[in-house]
Order: sequence, then C-alpha cells, then structure tokens
Amino acid sequence: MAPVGMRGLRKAYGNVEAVRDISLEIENREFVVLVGPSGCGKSTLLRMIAGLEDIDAGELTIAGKRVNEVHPADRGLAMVFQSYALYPHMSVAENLAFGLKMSGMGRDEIESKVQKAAGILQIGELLKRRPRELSGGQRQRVAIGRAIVREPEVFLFDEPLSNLDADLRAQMRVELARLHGELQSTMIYVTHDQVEAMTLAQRIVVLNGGRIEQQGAPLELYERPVNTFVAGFLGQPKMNLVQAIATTIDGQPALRLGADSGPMITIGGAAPAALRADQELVVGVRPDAVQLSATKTGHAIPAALELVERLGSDAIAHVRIEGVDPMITVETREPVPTERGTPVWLEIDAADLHVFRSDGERL
Amino acid sequence: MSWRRRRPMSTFLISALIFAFAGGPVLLALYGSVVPDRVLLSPERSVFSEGISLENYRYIFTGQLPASYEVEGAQRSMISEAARQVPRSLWNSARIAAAAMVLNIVLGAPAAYFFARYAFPGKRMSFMFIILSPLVPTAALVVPVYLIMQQLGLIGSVWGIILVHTAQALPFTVLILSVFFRRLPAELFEAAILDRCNAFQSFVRIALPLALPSIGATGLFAFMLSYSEYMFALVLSGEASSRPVSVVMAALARNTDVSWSLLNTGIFIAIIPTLILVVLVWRFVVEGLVSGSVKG
Ligand SMILES: Nc1ncnc2c1ncn2[C@@H]1O[C@H](COP(=O)(O)OP(=O)(O)OP(=O)(O)O)[C@@H](O)[C@H]1O
Ligand SMILES: [Mg+2]
Repeated sequence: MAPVGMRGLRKAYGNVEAVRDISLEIENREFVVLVGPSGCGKSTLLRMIAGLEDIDAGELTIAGKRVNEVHPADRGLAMVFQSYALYPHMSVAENLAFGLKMSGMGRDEIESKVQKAAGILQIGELLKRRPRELSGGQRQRVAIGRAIVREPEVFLFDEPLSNLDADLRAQMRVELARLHGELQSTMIYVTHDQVEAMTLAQRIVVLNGGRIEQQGAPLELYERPVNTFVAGFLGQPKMNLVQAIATTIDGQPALRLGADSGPMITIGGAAPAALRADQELVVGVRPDAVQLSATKTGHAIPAALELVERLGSDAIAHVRIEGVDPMITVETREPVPTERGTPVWLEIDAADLHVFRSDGERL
Repeated sequence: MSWRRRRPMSTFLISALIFAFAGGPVLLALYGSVVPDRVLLSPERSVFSEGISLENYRYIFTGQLPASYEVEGAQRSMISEAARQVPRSLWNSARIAAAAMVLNIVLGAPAAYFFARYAFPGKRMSFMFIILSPLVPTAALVVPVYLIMQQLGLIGSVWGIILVHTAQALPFTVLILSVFFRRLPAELFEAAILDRCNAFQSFVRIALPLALPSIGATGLFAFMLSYSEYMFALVLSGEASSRPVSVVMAALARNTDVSWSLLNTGIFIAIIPTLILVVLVWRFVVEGLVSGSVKG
C-alpha cells in the first residue's frame, strides 16, 4: 500500500542499455502491468525496483522515500518469480515462514501469518509438502503465498503465470484480480500475455527498447494507440498496418492503400485535422473492425481469400488486396468460404481507422 | 523408467558382472583370511575339511601367534611384525582420511560457492590454477613437499599427511561443487536476498542444504583418496606410530615370505572402514544424485 515513483531510471549492462530514462508514477493500490516484446527491459525494470539490480541513474521512491540505496529486504516489497524460486529443501510452510524467520519474528506470529496466507490461497493441506511434490499450479500459489505472508507494500510479479497451462492461467488470473481487491496492495506485474495485461491492469505500460512507448488504461491503449508499435503490440490478432497515401475523392479526404493501383477509402469527417495531401502514412485497422462479405456492396474493397483459420465461434481470414502488402487479417463471426482465391469484399468504417505518420506516430 | 521392467535379465547380468569385478576381490580376501595357508596353497585340502579360523585376526589384534606357527617354528619368517601395525595404522588412516574429508568440505564448499556465484579479479586464473594443479606428477612434488613439512616440523606426524591429502583432493572438491552451485538457479538466491539473507546465510541456509548429496560424494571421494594414498604417506609418516594403512600394507606385501592368510587378513581389515563408509554415505549420495534436480 504505497505509491512507487520512478524518475529517469537507467540501467546498462556493458553497452546494452536495458532501461533508458524511465519515468513512471504508480499510485497507491494501483495494478500496473508492464508489457513489451522480449528483451525490452521489463524484467530489468522490475528487478531495479526490487533492488536486485543497481540503478545506474535516476531516482526510485517507495511511499515517497528514495530507496535507491535501500536493501531489497527493507523496501517493503515482495516478488513472485517466473520460476517460483521456492526453496526445494524446505516444506511449503517453511518456504512461507523463511522470510519472517530471517526478519527475527516470533514463532507464534509467524505461525499465524503462515496460516492466514495459506487460508487466503487455499493451500492449507499442502503446508507439509516439499515443492517437488506439488503441481505447477500449486507451486504458483505457494510462490504467491510467500509474497503475501510478508504483507508487503508493493507486490512485484515477473511473468508469474507463464509456466502454467492455459486453463490454470485463466484461473490464476481471476485469483490475482481477487487478491488485488482483497489485499489492497500496489502491484506491478510483468507479462507478455495480452490477455493478462488487458484483464488485470488498471494501467498498462508498454515498453520497447528500454523506453515507455505509452501508458494508460487498457481500453484507452487499445482504442487510441499513440504509435504503430503500440497499435501492433496490443490486440490479438494484431492490428492490420498498411502503407497509404493521403489523397482526395471528389474533394473529400481519402486514403489510397498500398501502391498507386491500390484501393481508395473515403474518410470524410473522420479525417485527422493534421492530414495533408499526398502525405505518406501508415493506416491501421483492427481485424474485428473489417466487415467481410462474399457479395459486392457499395464502397467495398475487392480482395481474395488466402487462408481461413476456423476457431469455432469465429474465424480468422487472411485476405490479399491487389497492390497492398502485407495480407489483411479479418476476424469474423459470419460463415466464410474457405477456398483459396475466392473473391471477397471488405468494408471498413472510416471511424475505425487509425492513421499514423510514416514515422509511426499517431496523426 | 520402463526399460528396467522390460529387461530384468540383462539388468541382472550386468549387475552380476559389476558385482563380480568390484566385490570378487573383497570376497576372495575375506576367504583367504579365514583359512590357513595350506588350504590356499594345496589343492587336496579344502575349507570343508579344515574349517575356518580367525587366528590371523587374533594375531593382528592381540599378538597371539596362530597355533600352526607355534608348532612349526621354521616358518616364523612368514609372520611379519608389520601385520601387528595394521590396527594402529588403521586408526591413523581413519584419522587422516576423516580430517582430510572434513577439511575438504570446510574449505572446498565455500571456495566452490564463491567461484560459482561471485565475480572477482583473477577468478579465471585462480580457478584454472586449482583445476590444473592435480596434473603435476606426485614424484615431482615429493621432495619440495618433504622440505616444506620439515620446515614446519610436521615430519612423522599425521598433520603433515592430512595437509597434503587435503590439498590433493581439494581441486576435485572445488570443481565438482562449483559445477553444482553454478547450476542452482539465480532466482533462488534472489528470493533469499528478498527474504533478508546476507551472503553467508544464503550459503548456509540455501546452498549448503541443497548441496548435501554432492558434498557427501566429494567428501567420500576425499576420504578414499586419502585412505589409499601411498607416496606422501610413506615419505611423511616416519616411525610406526604415525604410519597410515597404505604404508603398512605395502610393507607387509613387500615381505616375500609372508603368510598369504596373514596378508589377506591385513587386506580385509584395511577394506572394512571403506565398506562401512560406503554403506553409510553411499545410499545418501545416490539418493541425492538420482532425485538430484533442484527444480521446485
Ligand atoms: N545480466 C545481464 N547481463 C547483460 N545483459 C542483460 C542482463 N540482463 C538483461 N540483459 C539485457 O537487457 C535487456 C533487457 O532484458 P530483460 O530481461 O529486462 O528483458 P525482458 O523485457 O524481461 O524480456 P523477456 O520478455 O524475454 O523476459 C536485454 O537486451 C538483455 O539481453
Ligand atoms: Mg523478463
């Protein structure tokens, strides 16, 4: 239950700059999820907060106090590791108690705290077992339990669910959300699972190359990505991003997709104010914002079916538009023909378009 | 593993073969020690007609001559005085080997941990030096080591031998344990840091308990190495009171007249401590190595 502040944090390993100039204010009781591609510095940043990595430059505060030089155990935080890092030679109860014991807490107090944490996580029956006698999901619970017993101000999670199968992951996601509600602690959570980020976060921070690309509420990031990186990173399947040129049709602002021969889309009133004629752009549209039909309608763009992936309730169609690269992904609930080469028509509402400059920034 | 169940026959055969090689000589020594020379040497007599006797053991531990030699006085040269030194030398060897084992663990485990988990200037060089040092031939070291021990006044004492045996086994201890410590996941120690462990506590409370099987194995190895070492033991031991069993056994075997039974008795007595140690420690070591993974 403490705010965490980062001002200009930096960390380099030799000449690899893992974290460059990160400033972020995390509020009390906030659930913040750090996402980003592999190697973007998520773990490094988390470990800097934990005190497991030295901070090269910048200031880290917890509960308003500078903690750059404070010992990890005195920062009032607990960390859940990706590999769980349970002590193999100790029973579950000993694993939970170890940190408290090292802090010199009395036996009875430790006992009651361990019982309480075990109760919260429903691992009471496992207390006598060794970690190797537990399933993956149970180990995960114990790892979280080890964090809970310390009653930290801040929880740090580094991809805690990535070793679990899909079912368990979904279950633990719900559990973590419940825990956050129950414990009212600040939580900083690293993942590269989209679903975890979207469902757990009050705020998502997208990192790339050691810098923050964008931060905000999940839906805000989803609906208004500030650049093509965030646009392409969040959302499954990925947003379609294609080259385009600004132009006009009958005096109306419009976009020509792909090469000179590519199709045109009128954008009319949805055009960003900053749009200039002949400007080179990148246009994005989410797969679920594209209407696909087997019959031609008004302004529909002609395309050809390349591949359809059926997922049960919906399907993902990959279609090719003449003169546009790469293929367009369409998510649809309508029945779709599956034969390769079948002509189809795509309808896109101009309001669903994300328009970016050629350097990737949102217009 | 399923192949074990499907091929009990071949598993049995291989085990029998291994047992014959490893256990055969031990059993032969045991047999040779409980029957008199005449049974060993003449094809007409057998253990069934002569029976077994523990006279040789009695002689070694009490000095009371076997009845047959009392009568046939001419053969007295077969009874070597060296055999009487076996119990004493056994005690010496046990002390020396146990001390070398303990010193190996006490010095080797922290050193290995330090090499495995910390960076410091000269780390590669010093590790190389430690690992390559066993390649220096013993013969080249005998004289310098003797001179050093003479300076230290440790000739004729078990302490000189203990120091040398410790130094001989230490490279292996450090190598094996550092490999083990390096395989422990770093996150385990990071969790320990967050649990308020300092470097020493991480070592004692996390690394050491996990390394117990490896420590058992390396300790046993150091013990065996010391127990069977001959060259330095010979040079440094001086008079009978500090001689370890390897030196005494060599003296016994060098006596060309010595009774076969007596020699076998000495051999079997010398093997006993090793057998006990193996039974006590080995189960533990193998259990540890088989379940070995530290995942969790
Ligand atoms: N101990 C280290 N020594 C040298 N370079 C390191 C070290 N740890 C991380 N790096 C580098 O720092 C960068 C960021 O690493 P980090 O582990 O923070 O990435 P990440 O975002 O957590 O990636 P992932 O999603 O794969 O876990 C990477 O380029 C990595 O190679
Ligand atoms: Mg990581």
